[in-house]
Amino acid sequence: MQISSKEFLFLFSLITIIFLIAPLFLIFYISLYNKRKKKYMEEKEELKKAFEHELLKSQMEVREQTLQTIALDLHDNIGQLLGLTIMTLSAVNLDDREKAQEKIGAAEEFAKRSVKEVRALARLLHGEEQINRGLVAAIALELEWMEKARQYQVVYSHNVPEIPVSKDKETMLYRLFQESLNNIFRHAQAKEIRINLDYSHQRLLLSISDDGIGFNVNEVLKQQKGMGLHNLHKRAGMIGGEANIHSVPGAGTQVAISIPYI
Amino acid sequence: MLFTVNTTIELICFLVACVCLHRDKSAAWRLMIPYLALVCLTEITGIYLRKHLHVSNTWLYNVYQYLELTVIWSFLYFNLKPYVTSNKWYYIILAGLWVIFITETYIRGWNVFANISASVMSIVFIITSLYYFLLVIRDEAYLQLSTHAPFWWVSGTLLYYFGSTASNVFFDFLISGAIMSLPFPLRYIVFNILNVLLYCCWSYSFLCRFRQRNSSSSLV
Repeated sequence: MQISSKEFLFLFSLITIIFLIAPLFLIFYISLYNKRKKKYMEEKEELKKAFEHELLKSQMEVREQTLQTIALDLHDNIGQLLGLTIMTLSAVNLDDREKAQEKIGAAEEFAKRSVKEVRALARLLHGEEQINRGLVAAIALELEWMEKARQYQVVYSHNVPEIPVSKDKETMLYRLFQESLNNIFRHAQAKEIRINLDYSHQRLLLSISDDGIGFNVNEVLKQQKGMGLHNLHKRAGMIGGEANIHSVPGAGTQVAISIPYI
Repeated sequence: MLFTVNTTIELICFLVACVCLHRDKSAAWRLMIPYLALVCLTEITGIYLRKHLHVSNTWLYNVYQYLELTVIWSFLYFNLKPYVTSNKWYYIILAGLWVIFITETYIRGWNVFANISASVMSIVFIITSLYYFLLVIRDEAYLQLSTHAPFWWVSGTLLYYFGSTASNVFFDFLISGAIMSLPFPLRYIVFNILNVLLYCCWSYSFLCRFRQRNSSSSLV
């Protein structure tokens, strides 16, 4: 079959146009893709900045909480003990040697307790650095202090193997733990607190439950009261994890935080 | 008449290359200046041979194709350098193309245009250009493509060689008597358009290179 010059011209022009348009389309597509890549990178950078900001905030909050605890303890505990020491010593009558000896002994006891409390405080201050050495130890230290100071019954269990430490994630998780505890102190009226730290399938799972009065989670979230709860979700999300809050009025609360951790 | 659309755009591109690349720190980019000078010389000599001396210029374009395949392939590979580590394929493909060209010119003679080899060369350049685009897409780093000189150089090369595929496929038919009855030289028009696209892209890439060099030196 022979084709005419006109037919050939049409066919040739069509093929040439197609072969010209195809690379033009490709170049346009690559430019478009590249712009999307730029947008994605900008978003990634923004997320990174937001994470760094939140991390810094968490670090400052951890510090603030420690200082608040120290201030409270200095005022309520050590301050009282030292006050009692002064009062006891000022009441010493050196003429009555027997009573004086008794009072000096009591003052010595108060001073010793003060020293003990100051040492415990120093350990608490040190606890801030404990995060660098591991979350398990930092939580244990915080709980030790809390159990002593606030008269809660605390059950702490953990099953975390030796894994490389990710300081940023641990700081964030530690702060989430502190926030959860604060919520219990303020609202729960609990007697017992159970904390479980577990590692499974490359995820770190922190569970904090109490036997307090509980609350309606949805209602609190709707009323915009639950900024602490929003914070738990937001911060857990920032380290790629999630926070689940389960509570029933009259039946306590359970906060479960799960984060990827390799 | 030595100044045609082709020669004019080639000369413009050569002048842009002279202005923008003569101080370029990369020898590969500076290589474009002598290459474009030879392109202009070949084109003008070809026209002179055909129009003034009335002799065939096919042998000249056959000789030019050796230069074209070596320079274009080398520069294409040079643009791939940030992404590939081995030079093995550069030498293998360059040697392969040379063997194909030598074989065709040996079999068909210097006075017959080596269009089979030209088609193979086009395919190699198209695949390499597409591979370059793939690597650009896969690259995690963001490139400002609108001012990225290698991107525009490769784009021009792809447009030219991809666009000339139809002309290469129908080469025998286009130069046969069957198509001579057309009132205009079809193949010549297509190559005029392709040359304009190629040299515009290349000129723009040289300008990008010039601006990049100036902005980086002003930062120092």
